[in-house]
Amino acid sequence: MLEIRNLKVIFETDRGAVRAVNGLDLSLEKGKILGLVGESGSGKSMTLLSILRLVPYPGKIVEGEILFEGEDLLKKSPSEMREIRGKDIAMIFQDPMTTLNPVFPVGEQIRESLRVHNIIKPEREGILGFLREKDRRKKEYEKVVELMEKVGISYPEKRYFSYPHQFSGGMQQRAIIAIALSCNPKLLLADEPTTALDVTIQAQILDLLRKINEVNGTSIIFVTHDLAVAAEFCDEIAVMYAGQIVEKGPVDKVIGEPKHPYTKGLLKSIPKITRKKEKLYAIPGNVPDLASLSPKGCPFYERCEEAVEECKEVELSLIEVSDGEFVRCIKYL
Amino acid sequence: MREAKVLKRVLYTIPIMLAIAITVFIFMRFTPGDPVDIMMGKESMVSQQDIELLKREFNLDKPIYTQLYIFLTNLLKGDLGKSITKGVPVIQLIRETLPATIELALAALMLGLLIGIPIGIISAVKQNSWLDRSMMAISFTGISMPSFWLGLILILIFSAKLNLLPSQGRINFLISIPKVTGFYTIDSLLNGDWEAFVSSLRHLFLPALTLSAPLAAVLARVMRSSMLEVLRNDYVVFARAKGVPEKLVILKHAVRNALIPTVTVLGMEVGALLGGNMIVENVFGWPGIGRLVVNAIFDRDYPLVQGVVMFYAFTFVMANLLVDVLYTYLDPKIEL
Repeated sequence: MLEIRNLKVIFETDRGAVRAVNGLDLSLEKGKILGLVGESGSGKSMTLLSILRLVPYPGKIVEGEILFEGEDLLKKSPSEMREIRGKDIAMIFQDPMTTLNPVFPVGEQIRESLRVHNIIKPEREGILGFLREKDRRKKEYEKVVELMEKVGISYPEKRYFSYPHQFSGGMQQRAIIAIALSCNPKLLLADEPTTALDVTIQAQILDLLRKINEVNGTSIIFVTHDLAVAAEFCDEIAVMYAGQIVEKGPVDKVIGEPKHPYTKGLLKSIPKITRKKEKLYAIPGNVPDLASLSPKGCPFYERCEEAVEECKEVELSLIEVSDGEFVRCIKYL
Repeated sequence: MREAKVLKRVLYTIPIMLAIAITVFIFMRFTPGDPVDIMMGKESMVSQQDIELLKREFNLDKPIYTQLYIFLTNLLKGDLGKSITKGVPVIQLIRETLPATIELALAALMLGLLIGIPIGIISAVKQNSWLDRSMMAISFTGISMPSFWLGLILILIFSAKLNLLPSQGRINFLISIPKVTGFYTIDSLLNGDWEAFVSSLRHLFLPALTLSAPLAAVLARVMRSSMLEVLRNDYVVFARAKGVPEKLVILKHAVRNALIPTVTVLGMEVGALLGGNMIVENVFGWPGIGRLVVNAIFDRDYPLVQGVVMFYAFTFVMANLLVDVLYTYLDPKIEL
């Protein structure tokens, strides 16, 4: 249902073009959950924003295709794009505390998405149009209450009129999910939806997302830097590094038998409770500066423990190593 | 609940007003010159006896603390005293000139909001464009330009050179309209007198524009910077991701939040508006409180100056209270 081909997003800065997303290929089938994993600054969030064409200034999409149900989103007009946002593709953000508008009641913010996408159709206009508006509002209100109930907000009739600051972080994230669900989207983009929440709430939110996936058949792209969460929650995993996918495949393959040295490093750096007290493993070095990244060669070269001389020069694309499993590494050429 | 809190805030203003009253009283007495001397001027025809008489009438012969006591006790009774030079109650003079001042101030406030807020929004949305840059340059000029100078320049251009707009007074002196509210624009409309309405609007325009210029400039700059701040927020991106049309994202989601800091500034600017009207009313011969008080200061008309300043202070305090109340509507996180 979603296929991204050779997506490139650059940010024009004083220091030159920063390639935030650098030739990304990704695909997602209907009803599946794809985990997009990587360090901060690897381009995960930019990839999601690109799908909605909401890359913030001065960033822009310079190349590629984003096929959603066979149609290229990058070729859509702004108004067509607006129709798609929130209705076919919804997004939830990392920090629920800053995602809801502080000056409007939570219920009204959920109702707004019903309204902008005409979910409750206005009845025939006429002289008594304003009466029907009241009627429409009431129906929308009922739908909002139903949505709030569905995502696990208790006392929805009362909570409808509460302001975001009167909600806890977990409740805010539920409200945001209610907004995302309001139009029954086909694809849900979740940008680290549990990072800002504590662990018990995190589990509840994940359960809620899984339920949505199972009941509504909503496909989900789940961005996280937490491999453990991704392993538990996703069907497929794509590992991102410096704006590219370095490895992708079914979750058991990527987690069970990682191929790319970067994925291996990430997995090794997860602290294990069974392990004795020892220094935690960390991948040496830092994420490369995306402004001065050489267009040639593997971007992970500098930090890679298995690097060879050719890595500096080689032009790589994703290599299929087994059914549905892809790696971008010279070792599998 | 809200009403009770508002009432409490109103009660808090009483000590503030009292402090202002004492300050004004003391400062006025420290000003060199004596009202009676100034009134009598060089006309030495007045006998010493008459002067003594006059001084006694206005309690000027008593020690300062007695004068202060009389002033404060009268003030508590709501009596602002009698003007020394005009011989009529101060409250009557204020009442006569107040409509002119309010009309001018409201017109300036409206112009300031109508010019400043949209410029701020547009500048922020089109950040760093030539439009933004030129509007900010103009607003900077607006802030830096003293209003007496701007007023004179406007008179020079629109009245003297182009002969488009009148430069003095509230209305064509040949027109008279019955007083209802005291606002000439409204009274003329109520009276169905179109000619008077146009004339009063034409008279109002230049002084209101002069008075509003610094206000509009400040509002534009504050609105722009708070819009830029707000537009960076997650909830703006989220609103777009919901599919909210861009116009609504700006005008509903962003502006509502950006107005919060702007309203604070507006409250403070009311003071500038009051101060500005003294100058503008004098430049444009506008028969309002500003002109009244400036003349009163020159004449050392103690009761009149005290009365008008008390009135100014009261207006300022009330305007700020109003802003605080407005705040609670704009920002749900704030309570009175």
